[in-house]
Amino acid sequence: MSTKASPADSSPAADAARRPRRLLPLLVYSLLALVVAGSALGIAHFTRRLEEATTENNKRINLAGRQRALSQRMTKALLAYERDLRAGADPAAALAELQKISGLFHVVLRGFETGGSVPGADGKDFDMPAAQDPEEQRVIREALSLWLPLQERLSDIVQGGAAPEAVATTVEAFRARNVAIFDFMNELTNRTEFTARAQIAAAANPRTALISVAVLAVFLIPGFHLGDRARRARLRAEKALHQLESAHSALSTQSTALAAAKAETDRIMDTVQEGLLLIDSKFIIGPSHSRELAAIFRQEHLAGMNLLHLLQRLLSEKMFNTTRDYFDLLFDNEQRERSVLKVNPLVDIEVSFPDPAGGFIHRYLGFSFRRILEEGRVSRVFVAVRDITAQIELEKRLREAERVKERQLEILLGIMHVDQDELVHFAEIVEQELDAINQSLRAEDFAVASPEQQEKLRARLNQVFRSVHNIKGNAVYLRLDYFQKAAEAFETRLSELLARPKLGGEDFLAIVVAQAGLRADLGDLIELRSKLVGMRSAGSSPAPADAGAASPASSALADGLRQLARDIADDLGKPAEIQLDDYALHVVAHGRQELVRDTLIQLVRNAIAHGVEPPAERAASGKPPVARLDLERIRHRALSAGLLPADAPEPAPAELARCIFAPGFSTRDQADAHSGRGQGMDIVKTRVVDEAGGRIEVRSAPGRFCEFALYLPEIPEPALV
Amino acid sequence: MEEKILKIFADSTTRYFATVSDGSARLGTPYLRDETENPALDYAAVIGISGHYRGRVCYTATREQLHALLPQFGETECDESLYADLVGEITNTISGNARESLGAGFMISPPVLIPASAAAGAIADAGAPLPCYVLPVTWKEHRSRVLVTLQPQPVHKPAPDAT
Repeated sequence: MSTKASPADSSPAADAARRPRRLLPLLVYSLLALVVAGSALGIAHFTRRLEEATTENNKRINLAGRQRALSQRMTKALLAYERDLRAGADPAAALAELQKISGLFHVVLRGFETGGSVPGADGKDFDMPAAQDPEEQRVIREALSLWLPLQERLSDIVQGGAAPEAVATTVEAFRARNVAIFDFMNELTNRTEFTARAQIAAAANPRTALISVAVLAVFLIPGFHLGDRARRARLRAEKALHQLESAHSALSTQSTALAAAKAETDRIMDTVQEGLLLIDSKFIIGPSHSRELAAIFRQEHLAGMNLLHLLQRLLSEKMFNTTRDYFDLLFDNEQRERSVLKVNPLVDIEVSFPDPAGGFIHRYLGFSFRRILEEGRVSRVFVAVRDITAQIELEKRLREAERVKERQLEILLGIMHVDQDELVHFAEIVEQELDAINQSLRAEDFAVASPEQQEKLRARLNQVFRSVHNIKGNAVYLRLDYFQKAAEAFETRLSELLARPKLGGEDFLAIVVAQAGLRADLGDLIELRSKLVGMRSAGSSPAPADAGAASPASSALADGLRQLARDIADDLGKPAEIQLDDYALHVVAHGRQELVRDTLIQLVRNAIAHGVEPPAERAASGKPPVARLDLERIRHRALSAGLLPADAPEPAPAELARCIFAPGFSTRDQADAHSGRGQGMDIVKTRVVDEAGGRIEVRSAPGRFCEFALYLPEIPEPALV
Repeated sequence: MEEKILKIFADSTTRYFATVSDGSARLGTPYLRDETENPALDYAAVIGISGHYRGRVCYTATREQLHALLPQFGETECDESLYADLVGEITNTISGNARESLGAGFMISPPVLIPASAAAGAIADAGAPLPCYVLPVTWKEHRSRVLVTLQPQPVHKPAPDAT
């Protein structure tokens, strides 16, 4: 295992290996500082020494030079003394000069030899060091060897005891040695200068060296600093390079992993059957989304588009406004996500895409949303959208099938109790009446507004009313509640139209819609009857016909009329029963059976609806105990309906009886299921009189009875060809 | 089909004539086409309906009416193609007006001109046993008809409104 630490290595071993490198600059800096400091001290020391040496040597040189001059002055003073002596002048001044100069010369010369305090050139004492230089010492010794004998001779003169001969001898001695002494002093001066230069040089050279060292150290510090920085920069560069290589390596590894992950994600995004996308706070679709999204929106290049703008082209204005508000909620940090998701208006929405082939393509889309938080704030929203058209369409079909099934079940339950022949007959009646209605409406020239056309329109509307009323009568007769209610609703619309002072084509829209509804009901009835017949025929065989009894149709009608009477009586709370004497429908000519049947139904309904209550019930209802036919009420209604002129004399009962056959005429203020429409007796009259060419006789006895007798002409036999 | 839907088509038709011509149109009594009837006149165009309703709307008119109507558009020399174009334009306008009232859920296809003899079949193809409503229209004594065969689609209850 290698302990060498790489620049990027941060292990303890690497730290330990790098520590000396970190200390080296510090040591170098410290050493250089010490060198600089030491050099400074040395420089100061040698500078001081140089100054001292210079001062000292300068003084010595000066003294040596003064010695040279003193030797001459001393000779001169001696010569002056001799001259004064010979001239008989006072020699005191010359003697004093000689004494002073010779003393000074001697002291200084001895100072050069042995060191000691000597009078300086500046008048101050100078601590003369002894000569150290051998050559200098030699010059001093030789000078002393000349001087000392002279100095003894001068002592006698200075002390004043010398004879003139002695003086003369001394003078001669001075003259003989004066030059030599001058030369020695001159040599001493030169040598002193030489020695001084040597000493100064000895002091100056170390200082110069130290200055060089200090300068070098001073220069070395930034140099080393720069070098250290360069080294550090190089290390950092190497480290950065290494890190870069490591990062590149890691990046390559990550890129490989990312490429694999992206390939995986791409496969998922290409395969998933949902539109998956991210939107930012501006609702912009992110760069990556599932392939299915383009299929759902039928558009490519969705990345970068605004999802809200995309939906704006597909949604209604109201839904778009709702969606825009909801998108704002999704990015509202103040709103809790759970609450926001609960009010998602795009759970299932219908959108319409333009169809390139023309028209539109309708789809249902389901959106779900999830927030993406970054640092506690909603940064983006994840959106999943599915095409749920198949699911919604299935739900719609199921709901529609359920509705149809419930409707058919209601019809089925309503017809199960009805005899199959009666049902067939009822279906035929309804079909005939619906055809009659359609025939009445198929009159386009009614679009021309004129009083005459208005009358025709009203007459046609009454014709429609009679057809609907007949359907309703037969429905009541067979207890087909579903059809009874449908016919009643139809009648209500017809009554509203008849009450209008003016009629136009658009007024008949409700009629034709109701007619279509009845026709659809009829279709269901026929289909269900067929199924019912199939079920019954599979379970039982038909009973054999009894030739001696009344025909099945006749018997069924009789039973039906009895049941009709019971039902109406129960509904109205009027106990009543129908008495059928010698009734046999089969004796009626075949072509009249339907007429008789419809007429009997209407008569029974009217008889019970408008009949007299039992006295006990009338008493309980607060009515007069004695019932009476209210001719006055009939007259009043007839006048209101314009059936009688307002200024007509008191009409006879027969005239009033004719009024009750007028279409829409009723003494009831409010219509109910059995009366009040004013159509029943109109149907009777229309069928018997208008269509069959018969007649109706009405006989009544107030307070006792009201009798209707119907007379029908025979149907002519078809001519034999 | 609801009465109001038929009224929207009737109003759309009369409004068209009131807008483009100097005479108003009046609606006759509507009725149901029976299986044997071909209510088509000389020219007919049909439009497919989808969305909240599915079916077809057909407008059919006589040559005389179209001939009388074309000058309203500055056409003085009339020919067969102009008649056909006009009947298609009227059909498109009627359905477009209806769409304004019925909302975005009422989608219409471009009009397709059909031979008058095929009009009954084109309407019947909308889906038996749907009733075909015939709305007669009279304009200046000229007759035309709007044939409507529509079936409301089961209503899908959308999600609760967020607002």
